[in-house]
Amino acid sequence: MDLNVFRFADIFYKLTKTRFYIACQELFGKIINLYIWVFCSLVVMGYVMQSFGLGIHYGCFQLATIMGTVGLFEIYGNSFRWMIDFEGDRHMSYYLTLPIRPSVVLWSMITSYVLMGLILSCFVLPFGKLILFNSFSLADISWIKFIIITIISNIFYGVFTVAVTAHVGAISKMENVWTRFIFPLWFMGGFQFSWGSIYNLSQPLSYVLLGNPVLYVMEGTRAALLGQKDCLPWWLCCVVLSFFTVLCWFYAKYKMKRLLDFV
Amino acid sequence: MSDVLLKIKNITKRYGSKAALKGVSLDIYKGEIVGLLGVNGAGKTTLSSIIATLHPPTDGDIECEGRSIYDDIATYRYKIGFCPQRPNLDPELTLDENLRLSGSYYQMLPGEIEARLEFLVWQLGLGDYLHQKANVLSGGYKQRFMIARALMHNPQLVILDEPTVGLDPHIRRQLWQQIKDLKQLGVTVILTTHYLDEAEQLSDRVCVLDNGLIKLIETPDKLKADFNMENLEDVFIALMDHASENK
Repeated sequence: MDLNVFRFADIFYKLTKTRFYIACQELFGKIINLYIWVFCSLVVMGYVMQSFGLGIHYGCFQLATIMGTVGLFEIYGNSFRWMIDFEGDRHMSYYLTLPIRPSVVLWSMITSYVLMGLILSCFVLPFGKLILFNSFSLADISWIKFIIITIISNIFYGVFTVAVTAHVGAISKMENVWTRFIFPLWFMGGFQFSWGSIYNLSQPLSYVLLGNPVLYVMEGTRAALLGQKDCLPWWLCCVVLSFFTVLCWFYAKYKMKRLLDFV
Repeated sequence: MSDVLLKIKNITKRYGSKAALKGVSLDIYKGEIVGLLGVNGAGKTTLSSIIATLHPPTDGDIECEGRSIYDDIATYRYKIGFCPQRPNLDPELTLDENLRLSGSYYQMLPGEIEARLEFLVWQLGLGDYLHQKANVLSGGYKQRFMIARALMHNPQLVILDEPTVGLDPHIRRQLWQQIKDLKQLGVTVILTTHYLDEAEQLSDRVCVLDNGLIKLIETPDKLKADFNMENLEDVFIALMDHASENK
């Protein structure tokens, strides 16, 4: 096998480890922020809103979607850090002159985002169980499906971070990351509703929503945590999400090359 | 100084309709210090970042020891160390970690990293700050650590892009000595600067860039003799005046 492959793999591992080590310096703060968000959401949706007629299982529904959203909400901060770097000291320039391909550098960043997303997801589940207690049964979880969809989702979010950063390209346009990308993908991605419920409400709208990759994250995570009933098929979510990831990667690579003008 | 390390062949670089480099050709010999001079916007940083493989040229080629660097860019990158204009050490890591990681990215063994680190800390006087993070350093120390990181994997060629810009005079002088020491170690240096005294003190040859073209390449002593002037600054001003008259 080509020696370059081993060399690239070695540098990829070291770069990922470094980026992940740096990201872990903020882990404690991230977990606190996450717990505040999870606590508020689950208390309101799982208990308070039942007085206003919301179903008793909506708390579990919300927990499943929060699990799928953890990585999505990391995109803004990660993208912001990239843009600060592009317009500041350009640490990225150093990595781009290392004896590897630029795509290896990009994938090391993506992998560190994926690892962070997975760790944060792991912290949500026991905390969610603690808040919802008997309303949420761990026995209903298909663990294999849950692990697979969480990994695929976080890879998508990692690649999407690179794509959206390269697309927006400047701190002055940073608000676009939230307003034009994260918010519509999240809010129309089944955070508060299932695709089935929209299908019953308006078929044309439900077909439009199929173009939203986050929908497959939400539906796939719910299928894994709460069961397949009323969700898009789990395997379909995995396949379509993988397709969106590949699509996003090619766009990210193309736009990043234009932005950074690397060799 | 007869062995050519790097052959820069007709490099052009365009940003949209603007040409930053318009066909630059230059040979860099093993073990020499070449000063790239020019006014702001002359193309110095563009040329040094192309040599460092940070950016690709629009056209032209660079050969290292007779082979295009673009045929196997990873191998070429083992031979070079790049110190960009703005220090870009990882601020979340200690300087010791920055240097050790730099060595590990170039597949140095732990023992090699240890020995190299020890040597560079001694050579560049970095001991006091080794376990601090980069953001506590003064500009001069940041530059020294940048040079140390560029040298960590023992490259044949080091590209220093304005390493002394914004530094106090006495710190500049200290860095000059350290750049001279690189030559003693057999390292080839490409030094981008707009300080003429610096170029005169350090360079074996200076390459004057103007508006994306090489105006001339010569030793500082030969230039001063040819122009009958006492220092390189006067030569440079004469050259620039001549260039603006011709425009």
